[in-house]
Amino acid sequence: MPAKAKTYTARPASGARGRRGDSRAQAEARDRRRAISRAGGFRVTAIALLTFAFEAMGLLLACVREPGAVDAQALSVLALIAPLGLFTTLILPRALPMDALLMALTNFLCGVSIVVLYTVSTERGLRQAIFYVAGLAVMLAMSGIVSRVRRYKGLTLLSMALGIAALILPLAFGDWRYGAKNWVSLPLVGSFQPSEFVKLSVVLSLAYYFSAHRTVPQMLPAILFSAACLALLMLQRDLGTALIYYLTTLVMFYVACGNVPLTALGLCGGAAAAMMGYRMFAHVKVRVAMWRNPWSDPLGGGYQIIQALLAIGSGGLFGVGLGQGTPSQIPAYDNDFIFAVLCEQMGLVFGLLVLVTYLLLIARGASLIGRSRRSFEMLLGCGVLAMLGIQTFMIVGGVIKMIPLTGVTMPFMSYGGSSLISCLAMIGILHGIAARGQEDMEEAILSRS
Amino acid sequence: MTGAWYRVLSYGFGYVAAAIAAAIVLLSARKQTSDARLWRRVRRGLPQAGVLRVMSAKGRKLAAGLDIPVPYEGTLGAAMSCDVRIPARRVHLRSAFFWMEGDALHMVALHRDGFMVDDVPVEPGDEAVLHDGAVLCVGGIRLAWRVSRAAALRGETPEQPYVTRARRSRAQQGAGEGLGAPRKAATRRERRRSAQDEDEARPVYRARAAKPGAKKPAAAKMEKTNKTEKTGRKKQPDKATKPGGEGRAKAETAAASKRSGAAKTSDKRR
Repeated sequence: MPAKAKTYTARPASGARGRRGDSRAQAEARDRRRAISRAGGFRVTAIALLTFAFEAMGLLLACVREPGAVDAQALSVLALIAPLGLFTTLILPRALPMDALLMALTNFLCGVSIVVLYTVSTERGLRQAIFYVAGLAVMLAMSGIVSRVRRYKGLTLLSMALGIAALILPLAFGDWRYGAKNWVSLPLVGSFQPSEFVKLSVVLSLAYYFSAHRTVPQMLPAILFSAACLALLMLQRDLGTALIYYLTTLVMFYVACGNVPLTALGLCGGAAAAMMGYRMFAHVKVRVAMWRNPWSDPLGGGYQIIQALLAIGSGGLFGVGLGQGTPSQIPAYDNDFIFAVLCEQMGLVFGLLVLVTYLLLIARGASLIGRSRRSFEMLLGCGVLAMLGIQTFMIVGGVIKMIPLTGVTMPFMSYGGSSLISCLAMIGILHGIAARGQEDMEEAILSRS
Repeated sequence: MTGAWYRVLSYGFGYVAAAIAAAIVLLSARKQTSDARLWRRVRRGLPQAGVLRVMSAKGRKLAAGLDIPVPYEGTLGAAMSCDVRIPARRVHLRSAFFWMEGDALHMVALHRDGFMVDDVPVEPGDEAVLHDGAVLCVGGIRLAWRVSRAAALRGETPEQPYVTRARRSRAQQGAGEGLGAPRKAATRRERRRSAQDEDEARPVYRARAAKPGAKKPAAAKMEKTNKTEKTGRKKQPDKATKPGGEGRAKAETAAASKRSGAAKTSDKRR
């Protein structure tokens, strides 16, 4: 039986796929257009609209919370933050150096914070909304600086000098709060934490000095500055922030030079310092003891952790309801333990999804800094992400009793102007780095074509 | 609204909020993965700064003819964290730091053993400028530097192929200074020296030009002078020795006039 002859049918010629080469070229051109496009796409639009819906529903619920009364302030907060979120996610990235997805995730986290805080305390919710607006302005300023400034030597030295001065301020004029002297009260400005803003100068100085030839002696000025900041924070008894600074320095050191022995040495030094701190400071001993067994002192040192764990547990999977529950039972429920309040009211599922959102934020930041061509930008972004990630891990881990509790705030979530503004400033740095990467890509595409 | 209705609505809001958060997470993850794929696709079509082609390899990991892509800035060495990884035993973990300026690759040694460019040793403290075709020798591995077309189109031919003392050990951070940038006084002195007459008596060492039929390529020029030469004069020997075709490769190193404490002091000041 003769073998059946094979037949080849030519593809019908069409405008877009007439030849294989044309379709590939068109696909490449389409990819390049999308790569340099500043628009976020339909997914980012969907995220922005979902965030808008969440804020609208949450604040409308808060508006009718009191039987027979309508809270007009909730409507004003809604009118302030919801359109602002849409504007900063959908419109601004087309005109300014910003990344749309990063902005969308940031707006979602800030929106959750404002909604939850408003139902817990209307005054705190309103102030948080105002801090959010101020933080957006700072974020845009930082984004503009990072995307436009080319010489960082003067800025680095200035920020180092200002950082040291800012950390000395609380020691000279500060108040003792919750066992630490890290707050400064100024007329017309109010009280703020200088250590939240010194984070930016630490990251900047480390990135500048580590991005040169990366030999250890050349990194010394930044290491010494970081050590000075650590020493001042130890004097303030702000050990949580000191730990964040230390771990960020270590991460940036390893990323810059890849020197495993020295990094391990630094880690051992940190462990030794932690042991010394445990012996020197009584409240550290208390925190470690309460982490090991909070039930040993349920009405004293362990009260806070126990209440937080009970709140998380009583919330179940989907929470007791917005504005329900008893968050005021937890000491510092609006800043350090906001995560416990969130889990109680919105449920464990929502709390886990918020943590996944943090991970996505960090992953997005990592992909943005991976596009940068300059080591300075990469290290700056790495420092920012390390700070945000370490701080989030420390506070969530402390709340759920995974690690001993430290007195740090949850980024974007905790009530506090200093914390929110400094976190948004760090997001602004990431926006600037994203913009530089975009410019380099545009340049590369244009030079090739 | 009564309290009971509020409780019902707020309890239901928990489910809605979880659904909204799940949708946001899924959309963000999808957007992130699609963006990453898009950038990888686009970058594949775009060249990096250039490639280092392995000329003489040892071992299984480095075959002769292998092209190692080179980004616009990074480190070179055997470590996994290096931007240009050369997996060979004799290559140090971090051998050099490089960056692109125009269409030339600038490289400084990070290890005391240094490296060689066109058979000219480059020690720590010196800065090598590699043009297209330069042969880099690090840890016994010979690599030919080929600049990409995009970088070549965008780059400008530098007026001074030699790196002057004022520009030595400068990390590229935009167009500004970096760690180790000289002070303004040093820059002014450098400019005064470059404006002086060429006949000033200073020792200048140059490699001999390759004789016709010579097997070895002409070695790069070595100068032990602080003075920079004029552009025209520098380019002439290259045109004279090159047999034709596109410019071969010229790697110039700016060697310190005194390989003593003066140069090392300026290095330490960094």
